[in-house]
Amino acid sequence: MNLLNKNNFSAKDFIQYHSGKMSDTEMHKMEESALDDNFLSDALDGYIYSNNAEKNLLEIKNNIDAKSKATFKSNASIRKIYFSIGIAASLIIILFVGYFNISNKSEVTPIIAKVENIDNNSDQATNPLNNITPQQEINTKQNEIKAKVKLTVPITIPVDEMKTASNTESSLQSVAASTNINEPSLTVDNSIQEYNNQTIADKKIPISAAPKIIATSSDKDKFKETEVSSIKSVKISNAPEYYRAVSATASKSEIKNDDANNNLSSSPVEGWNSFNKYIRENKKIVTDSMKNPCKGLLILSFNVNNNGAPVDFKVERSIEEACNNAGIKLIKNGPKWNKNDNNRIVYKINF
Amino acid sequence: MSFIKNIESDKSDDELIRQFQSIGNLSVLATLYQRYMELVYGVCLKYLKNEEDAKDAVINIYEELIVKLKKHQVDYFKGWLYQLSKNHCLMILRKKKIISLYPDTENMQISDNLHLEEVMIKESQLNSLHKCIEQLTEEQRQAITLFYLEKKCYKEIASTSNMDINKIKSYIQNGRRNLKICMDKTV
Repeated sequence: MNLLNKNNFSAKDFIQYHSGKMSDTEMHKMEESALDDNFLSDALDGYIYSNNAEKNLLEIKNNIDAKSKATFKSNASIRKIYFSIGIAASLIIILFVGYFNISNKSEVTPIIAKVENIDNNSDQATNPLNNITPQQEINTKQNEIKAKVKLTVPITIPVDEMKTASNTESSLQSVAASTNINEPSLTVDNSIQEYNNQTIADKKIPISAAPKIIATSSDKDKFKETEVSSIKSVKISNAPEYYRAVSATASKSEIKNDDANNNLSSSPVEGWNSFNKYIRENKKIVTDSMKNPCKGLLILSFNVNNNGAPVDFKVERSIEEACNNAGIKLIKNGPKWNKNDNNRIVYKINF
Repeated sequence: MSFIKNIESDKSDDELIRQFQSIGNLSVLATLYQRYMELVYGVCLKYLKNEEDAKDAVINIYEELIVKLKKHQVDYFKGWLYQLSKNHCLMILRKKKIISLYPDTENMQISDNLHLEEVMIKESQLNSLHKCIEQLTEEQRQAITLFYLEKKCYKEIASTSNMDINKIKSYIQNGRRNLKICMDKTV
């Protein structure tokens, strides 16, 4: 008997058992083991039906070995294919990234040329967000109207890397401060969209480095088109860690009359930028002092009287009464207004 | 390759399973399966009662094993493989609708593992064991006594008692179960 001592029986033992070539002691040993091992017991029972067990088992063994080798070979060839694909993919990615970096550094957009025309007269401004005076704004608008700018739609813009979404604004300001340019910058109120076309309120994003152009979203729902140009949207990529501009679209402003002043509606005396800055800075002070801080979009409309004071307030979109009143108070206590027409002014405050 | 096989042959079932599950190398699985292949063949023969069918079944069980062993956490491979083999054969029989042709003894077999030898060598328990043996039925007592005390094989018991071998197996298995119950009560 082959493996009786190990209590591990082979086919040869089973064949001997059934052919009567095993001693009674060996048979008893096997039967005793089989009583404790159903696998062995069933196998022992089964071999009674076999006449060519050894030949069949050899065939089975060869079959299994062949399968193993075949699969090993096919796995090896699959691994080779994956390896080749991996190398090819890596090369493509490297080439793409290289091309992307080079092209971003060299792109200049049509909109930049137009802005250069607009701002030839003014070279004093160094901070695009704060230092444009009302007179500069008017000059800019007039020059733009004279030039009758036709902007290409869509335009491609240089990519400026910025910090994460939560710090986008401060990041942009630091970019602006660190950029050494002679041309005055222009802040354009407009809409900024994420890649999924969701607009982001009150965000700034540079769409051009030199001269610096920063598009700013005025609120979530609407564009606030300037008379200078109307940048319809700025698309920014929302890669895991960075927001950055990838493209912008623009269209020509509708200009009906060469006389800009005839078309001007009522506006803050110190200019929209200054007024917006005032609202931005003071809305926090107002809301922080409140028991339940305001959150949401408040839309107010009002008239400007002959003394330049905002009057006749109407809440177009409400948050809650305390917040509505805080918004009205904010505008009432703010800078004075130039009354140019009788149209109501609609103003949105995003708390 | 043969060197690798020699190394693999020294490894335990668990080690080979882990190796197969992590690398997926079929030669490792083949080494493991071939340790029990002769038993699997015997099981398939018992249920299918046909050498060609059994041969196919052994190969098909190996292929089934490739898939299942990747997914399952197996603690005791031999027992797991036995169950897999048995189920595979039962499925074949179910498809052929001849499942009812089992020997009667099949239902009488008990799968619990008794370490009866250990019990029997304990002198202190010997008396109670004899008492329990006396409580067995005549056939069970005769089969148990001849098999365990007189160390006779089934063939010898059959010749001395004129009983069928399958019946002897059943008597022994049922007698073991009854002895265990009896011994548990007395201890």
